[in-house]
Amino acid sequence: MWDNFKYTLLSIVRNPALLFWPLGFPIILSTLFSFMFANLDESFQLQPVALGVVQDETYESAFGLDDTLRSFDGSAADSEQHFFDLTYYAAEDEAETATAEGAIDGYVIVADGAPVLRISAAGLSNERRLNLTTVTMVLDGYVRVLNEIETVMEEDPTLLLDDSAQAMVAELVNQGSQPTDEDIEALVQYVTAQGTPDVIAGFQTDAVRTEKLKLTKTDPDSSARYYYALLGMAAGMGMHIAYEVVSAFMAQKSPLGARRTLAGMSRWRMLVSSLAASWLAAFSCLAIGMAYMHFVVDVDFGDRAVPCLFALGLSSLAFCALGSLIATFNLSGNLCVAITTVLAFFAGLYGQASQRIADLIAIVYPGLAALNPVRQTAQLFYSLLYYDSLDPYLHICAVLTVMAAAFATVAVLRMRRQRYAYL
Amino acid sequence: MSISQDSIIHVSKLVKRYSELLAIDHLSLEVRAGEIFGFLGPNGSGKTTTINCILQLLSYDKGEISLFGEEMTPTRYDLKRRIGIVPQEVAVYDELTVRENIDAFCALYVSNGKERKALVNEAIDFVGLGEFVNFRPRKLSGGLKRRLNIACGIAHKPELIFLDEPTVAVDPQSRNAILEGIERLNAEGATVVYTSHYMEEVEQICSRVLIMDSGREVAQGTVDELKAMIGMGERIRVECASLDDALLGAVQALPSVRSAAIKEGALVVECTSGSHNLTDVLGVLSSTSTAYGRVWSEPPTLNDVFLEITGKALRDEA
Ligand SMILES: Nc1ncnc2c1ncn2[C@@H]1O[C@H](COP(=O)(O)OP(=O)(O)OP(=O)(O)O)[C@@H](O)[C@H]1O
Ligand SMILES: [Mg+2]
Repeated sequence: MWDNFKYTLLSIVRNPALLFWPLGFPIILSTLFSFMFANLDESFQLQPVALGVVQDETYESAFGLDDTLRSFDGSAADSEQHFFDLTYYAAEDEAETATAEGAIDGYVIVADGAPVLRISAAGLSNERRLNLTTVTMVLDGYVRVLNEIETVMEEDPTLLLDDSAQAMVAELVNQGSQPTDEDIEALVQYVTAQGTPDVIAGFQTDAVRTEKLKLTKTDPDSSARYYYALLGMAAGMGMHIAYEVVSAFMAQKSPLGARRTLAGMSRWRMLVSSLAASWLAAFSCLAIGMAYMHFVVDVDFGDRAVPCLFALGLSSLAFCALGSLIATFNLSGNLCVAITTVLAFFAGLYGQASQRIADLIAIVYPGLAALNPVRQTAQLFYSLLYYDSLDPYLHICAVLTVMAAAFATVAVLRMRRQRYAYL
Repeated sequence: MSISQDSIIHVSKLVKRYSELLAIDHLSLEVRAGEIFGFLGPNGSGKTTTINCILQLLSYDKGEISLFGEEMTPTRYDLKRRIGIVPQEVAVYDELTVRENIDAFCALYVSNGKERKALVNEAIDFVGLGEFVNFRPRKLSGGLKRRLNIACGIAHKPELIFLDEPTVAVDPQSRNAILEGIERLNAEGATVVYTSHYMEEVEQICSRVLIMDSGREVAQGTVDELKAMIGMGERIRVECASLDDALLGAVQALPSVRSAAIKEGALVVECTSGSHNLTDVLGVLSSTSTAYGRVWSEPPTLNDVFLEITGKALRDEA
């Protein structure tokens, strides 16, 4: 058995055509992916916007607007928050001229009680146009906070006051007599001196920050998901190795297969040693692919490298078992590649549309999705990275183990039949 | 069904159909220990099919097959281990070298590494592939590939060896080496089933022969028995300066002459088996004062046997 394992492994390693799919494919594709996603990341890199502000009376009277904008100006904000470089203009036509000349990308003006962004229609690159969306976001956030404050003011204005101001109000109310003019004057002076209350300031930055995260960074899941599905697919390509190796001792597949069927080694021994060899080869390809993704492409596998490797081992075992099973039928090896390609579609490898279909199927037919080993492999990685508990991971491991055992068992049962009507 | 003590292969009334085609038609045969058993038949006569049925690779419609006195089934690995196979088509691992190939096949039978090393070396010497041990099969010529194919089948020293046309595409020199090797294996105790459509080879090495045609047995026996069966003696060819019908008639009148004809300026006489046919024919030539040149006298071949029984040639004399 050992010798059969050894020579089978040797014949795999010396067959570049067999190794191309499981080894070359993930490396080539992940490299492609990394270029694709790198471009995407760059275009989402925020460049501070050269933003004009028309500083007229309406602007001055807009509550907290200037504070909000300044908090994202280079002079005030840290680099994370540096969205704008502000330039103030006394009147709109000055700002317009500056925009037309390209000194600024656009300007903010308060019109009809609300701040709006004006940009020159022409001459803006897509990239700069994209950057300007941060301005819109900040302004939207500001308007929303303002509305929020207005609502609060209508319901219970004291909520807008800080603790000491609220204490002052409470004291005035509780003292039983009418508050004097001096008391009220003191309260107003205190509140005015505080500027924008903390509550409101907090409101503003929160509203803007959440928006920013969602829109400007590529969703960290979305690119990783491709790599995981890719590893799942590479595991699927390993199926082809097992197919070829097992075909090489199936009598109806080749003279070599016939000859080995006539040898004095039982079928299950043949299967176990050949499966072990193909699994080792497939798994090594995957491990190399994963290492490449980790070290070269910089894909994040979290701190759980060992369970990640184990996941790959298990999934390639399931696929090798499936490959052996296919080899016991009179089917072409191309079927392995075809199956993997289809399964990878339903694991969401081919872009967002395929991801959406994959997710939809997982919701509507969870059983069907569970039978897709490519998806299961990708899910194994998710479960490792996004859950603290190992339970979901172990669950998928169990599913893959059952798959592997089932495929191998059916394969060996089918192999016991060795007499053929035709060769 | 009685099986004699030393029966290694016993096939009784084997019938095999490939859907419409009746490939083996009630074939029975018996191979005894220590024999080199020849399977002779034209292309498509069912030699390979018979072997594959015996080895349980093919299903068959009827018949009983036993090996070493026991019923053969696909899972009789104990019996399979005592058998060596050299298939008609070269069947080796393309990715492994000559030595690795022989070792890989030998390992299917012999697990002890040390023992195997000796066996593999012996097999390499046997087929004379010593210079090529590190070659991959695709770098070997057709004839060398055939030799590798043989080595892979015999390295584990099986008791029973099937060789299905092992000498196809092998040059005459290597062919002789292979035939001698097979005789050596036989002398060392192996029983051999040898398939060929080269009757000279079969005549040369086989102790008993089964001639088949269209899945049926044509004749079975030792080479001498087969020849005696058709009652044919030698074929005599004489180059003559002049030939006429009177001469031909005189030759034909000889009691031991089956037929006489003039072909390409030579007199061709086929005789029944007898002891002084050549003297008789030459006597006629002398008595008619016919000058003659070279004379050939060939004993009958298995092709003559085949021709006699089926009315067609076993194979194109090429
Ligand atoms: N797989 C098959 N399907 C259908 N018919 C087949 C098949 N294999 C062989 N045959 C037919 O069975 C008959 C016997 O074939 P077989 O290969 O046993 O002949 P053979 O004596 O070995 O010939 P050769 O000298 O060419 O090797 C032939 O008529 C052949 O066409
Ligand atoms: Mg044949």
